[in-house]
Amino acid sequence: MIGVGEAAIGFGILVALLFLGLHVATAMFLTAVLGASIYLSPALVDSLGTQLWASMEDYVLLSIPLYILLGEILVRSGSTDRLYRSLADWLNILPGGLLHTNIAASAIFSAVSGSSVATAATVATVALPSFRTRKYDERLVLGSIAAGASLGNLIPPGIALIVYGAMTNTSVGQLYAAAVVPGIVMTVLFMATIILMGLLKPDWIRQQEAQDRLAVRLRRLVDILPPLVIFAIIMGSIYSGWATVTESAALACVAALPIAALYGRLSIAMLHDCFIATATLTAMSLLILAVAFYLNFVLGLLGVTPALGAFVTGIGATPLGLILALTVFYLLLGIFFETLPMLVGTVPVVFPVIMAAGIDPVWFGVFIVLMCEISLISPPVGMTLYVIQAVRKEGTIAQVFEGTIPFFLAMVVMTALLIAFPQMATWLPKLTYG
Amino acid sequence: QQIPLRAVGHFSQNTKQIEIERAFYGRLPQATGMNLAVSFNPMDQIGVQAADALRHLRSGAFDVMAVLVGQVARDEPFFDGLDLIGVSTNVEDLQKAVEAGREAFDKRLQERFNARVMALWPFGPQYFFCNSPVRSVADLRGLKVRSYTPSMTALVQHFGAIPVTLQFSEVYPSLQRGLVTCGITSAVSAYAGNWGEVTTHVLPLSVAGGIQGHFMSNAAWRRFTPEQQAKLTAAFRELETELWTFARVSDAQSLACLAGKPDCTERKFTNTVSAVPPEDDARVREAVSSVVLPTFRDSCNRVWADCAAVWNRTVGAARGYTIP
Amino acid sequence: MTRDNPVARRLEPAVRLVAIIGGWWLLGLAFLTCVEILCRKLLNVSLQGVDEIGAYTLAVFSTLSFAYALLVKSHTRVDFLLAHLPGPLRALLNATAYVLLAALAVFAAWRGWWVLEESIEFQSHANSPLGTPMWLPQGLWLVGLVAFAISATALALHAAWLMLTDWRRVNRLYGPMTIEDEVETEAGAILARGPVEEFRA
Ligand code: NA
Ligand code: NA
Repeated sequence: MIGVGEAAIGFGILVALLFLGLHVATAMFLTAVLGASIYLSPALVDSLGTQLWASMEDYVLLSIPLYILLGEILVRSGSTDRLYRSLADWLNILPGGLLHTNIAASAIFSAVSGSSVATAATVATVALPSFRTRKYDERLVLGSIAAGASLGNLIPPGIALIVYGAMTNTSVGQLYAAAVVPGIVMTVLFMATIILMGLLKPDWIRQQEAQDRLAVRLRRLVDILPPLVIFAIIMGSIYSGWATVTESAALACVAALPIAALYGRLSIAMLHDCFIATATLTAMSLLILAVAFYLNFVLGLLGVTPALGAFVTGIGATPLGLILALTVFYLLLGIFFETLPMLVGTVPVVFPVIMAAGIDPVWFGVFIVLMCEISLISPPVGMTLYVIQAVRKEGTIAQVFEGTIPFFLAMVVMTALLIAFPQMATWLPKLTYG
Repeated sequence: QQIPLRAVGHFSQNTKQIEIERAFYGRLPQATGMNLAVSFNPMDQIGVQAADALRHLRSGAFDVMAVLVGQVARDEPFFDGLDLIGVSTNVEDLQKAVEAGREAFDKRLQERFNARVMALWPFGPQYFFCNSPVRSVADLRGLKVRSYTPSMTALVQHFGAIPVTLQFSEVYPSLQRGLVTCGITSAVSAYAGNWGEVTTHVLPLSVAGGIQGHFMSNAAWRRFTPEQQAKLTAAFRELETELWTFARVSDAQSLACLAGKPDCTERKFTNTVSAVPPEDDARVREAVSSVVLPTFRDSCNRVWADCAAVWNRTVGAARGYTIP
Repeated sequence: MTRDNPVARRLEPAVRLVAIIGGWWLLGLAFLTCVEILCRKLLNVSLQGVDEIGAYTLAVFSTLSFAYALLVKSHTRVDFLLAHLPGPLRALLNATAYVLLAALAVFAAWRGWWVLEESIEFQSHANSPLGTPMWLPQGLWLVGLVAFAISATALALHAAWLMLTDWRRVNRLYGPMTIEDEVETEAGAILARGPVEEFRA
C-alpha cells in the first residue's frame, strides 16, 4: 500500500522514462517492475507471463485488428475516393463548398473505420490536389481535413472506444451508442465553424463551385453506398441481435472484400499489404496495451486506487470540478502524447476516481475519447497533422497548425457541451439498452 | 511484527460477496489475534483471470484467493467433480456432495498446486432464464441456450437445445435481441445483471451450485504457528458458513424479486417462475448418467487415472451416482 | 529502417512472412465468424467456440506481429524531448531504449515459457465446450514472443556495438521513427498510389 506522494513519484518516473525516449511499453514495464519489487514481491514480477496471456487472450480486443483490416481494405479499394467525389457533388452548394466535403467525407469514412490516421491520409490524398486550383485559404483546407479526421475514433466504430471498454469493463455496444450523438454534433459544429469562418473572412472561401449535370451527380450517388452498407452491417448486426461487437467487425471485413472486387482492386498482393499494415498497427497497440494491463495489475496491488480516491474525496472535489480539472490535464497531456499512450497511461488511475465520484462510466468513455481526439490535432505532437503535411509535400507544418486553431476551439466548445449536457452521450444507450 | 497477507477477492460485480469478503478480511486480524497486514483486491479490478487462480497460488504471487472452481478446472478437471452439472439439484444435496468430496479435493490441491482449501461455498443455484415460455427441460428442445462448460453443453444438447458460447457480458444484450433464448446462471447474478428486463420465464431447476472456494498457498500457511493456523481455519469456516447461508437467502430473495412477489423489498420484475415438474428430476438424472458423467470421466481420467474411481467413492457415493 | 539496417534487413523476410500468415488466419477467422453468425441465425446451430478461437487469435496474431513492428520501428516512442538533445547523448538514449526493450522482450518470452510449461505439466484444457488443450494457443503465442525476443536482442546488440564504434549510425538506425517513416508505415500505401481518379468537381 502506498500513498499519493509515492504514486506521484511513480507517475513522474513513468513520464521521465517516456521523455528519455524509451519505448512506451518499456517505460511502463520498468515503472511496474520498480513498484512491484520495492513494495511487493518478486513473485509478482514473475507473474508477467501469466498476466500477459490473461490480457491478450481477449475476444473483445480482437475487434481492433478486424477494424484495422476493414479500414485498410476499404481505403485500398478506392471506395473512399469515390465517396468524396460524390459528396462534393451535393455539398458544394453550401457556403464553404468543398470544405464541407472534407468534413462529411471524413465523418462517413469514420463510420466504417476505427482509425483517425487512416481517415486523414485518405481524405487528404483525395482532396488536396483539387484544392490546388481553387481559391480557398489553404490553412482552412488543411485544418478541415485534420478536424474531419479527428472524428475517426468518436463516430463508432472506434478503436479508442474498444480499448476503453476493455480496460474498464464497460460494454462496447453501449459506448458505441453513446458516441453516436456527440459524433454527429461534432460534425455539425465543424461545419458551423467553416460557415462562421466564411462570414468572418469572406475572402478565405471565395470559391463558387461549379455543379455537374444532375444526371451525372445522380449516377455518382451510388458511390456513397459502399461505406453506408458497411456501416449498416456493423450497427445493424449489433443492434438487431445477429452479432456481438467483435462478430460485427468480422462480418464487415468479409463484406468489404466484394466491394474491393467490384472496384477491381482485390488481389493477393493488395491483401498482403492490408495484412502487413494490420499486423504493424495491431502489434503497436497490443504491446502497449498488454504492458499497460500489467502496470494496472501492479498499481491495483499497490493500492494506488483507494489512495487517489481518498485524496480526491479529501480535497472535496465535486464531480464537475473533477471533470474540469481532467479537461485541463488532458489538454496539456495531449500536446505531447498520442491517443493510445494517453488512454492506457491515464485510464487505470483516473477511472476508479471517476467511479468514486459517481460519474457515468459510459459518458466518461465518450469524454476521454474526445480528449484523445483533441490530442491528435494539438501541435506539436499530432499524427494527423503530419500525415496531412506529408500528403501536401509543400509549404510548412506551421500552416497546418494554424489551420487547426478554429477547429480546435470547436472541439473545446464540444467538450463544454458534453459536460453541460451529458444526456448527449447517455440518452441513446438508455434508449437501446433500457 | 506484521505478517503480510495478499488476498484476491471475488468479481467486483458480485457486490454482496465482495462486501462479505471485505468485512471478513477486515476483522481477520482481530478474530485471530494476529498482527496481519491484509491487502485485498477483487480479481477483476487488478486484471487477474479467474482461471489462473491455482497458478497464482503456486507461484507465490498471492497468499489467499477467491477461486471460481469451474474456471480453474482448466488446470485440474477433478475439481469440476464437486459440482458436476445436474448432479446436485438443490442446496442440501450440494452440501452433501461438497462434504463428501472436500478431503479428496484438498489432497489433490495440496499435491499439485501447493495450496489448501480454507472454504468451499456455493455462489447460488444456477437456473434457466429464458425469454420464451420454458416450464420444463422438455421445453428447451430447439432453443438456443448459452453454455460455457463442456458438461453444460452435453446436458443442454441432451435436452435437444442448441448450445451457444458467449462471454458473460454479452448474455444480457443477446437475450434482449434474441441471439439466445436462455442463459444459465444463479438467480443472484441474473437479478444483479438486470436479466429480468430481458427474460420472461425462469425454470428454477438447479443444474449446478456455482461452487467457489477460498484457497491459501502452503507457503503462506507455513508462516503461521499451529495455534495461529487453527484460528485461521476456524475463521474461514465461519466465513464458509456465512456464505452458504447467504447463498440460500439471496437465492430466495432474488427469485422473489424476479417474480415481482410482494416480499421483495428492492427492484421488482415480472418474470414467471415456474414450479419444476416432478418428471424433470428423472430427465436430469437420465441426462447426467448418459452424457454428463462420461464427459467428465473422459476429460478427468486423461489427467489422473484414479479420477473417476475417487469421484465414485466420494461425491458419487453421496449423490447416488456411479461413473461406469 | 529495414532498408538501411543490416540486421533488420536479414531478419525481415522471415518476420514478414509470419505477419502475412497471421493476416490470412485473421481473415480466415472473419469468414468462420460469418459462418457462425449465419448458422446460428438461419440454421439454428452454433459452431461453439468461435469466440474462444477468436480470443486466442488476438493473443497469437499480436505476438506474431511484434517482431515485424519492431523492424519497421512502429513500437511507439515519445520523441518530443529527444529531438532537442545533443547527438552523442541522443545516441546513448537510443541504444539504451533498444537494450531495455530487448530486456523486456527476453523477460516476457522467459515468463511466457513458464506459462506454457505449466499448461503442459497440468495438461490444461480450457473448461469450455471446445476444450482446447492450452499448449496449442499458448505455444503459438510463445513463438511470437520468442521471435520478438530474438529480433530485439539482435537489434540491441547491434545498437550497443555501434554505440562503441560509430555513434552517429546509432541515431540514424535506432532513432525514433521520423515523421516520414511514420507516415510511410501508417499511410504508405495510400500515399503511394495517390487518388484513384483525378478529382475534378
Ligand atoms: Na470510427
Ligand atoms: Na498532440
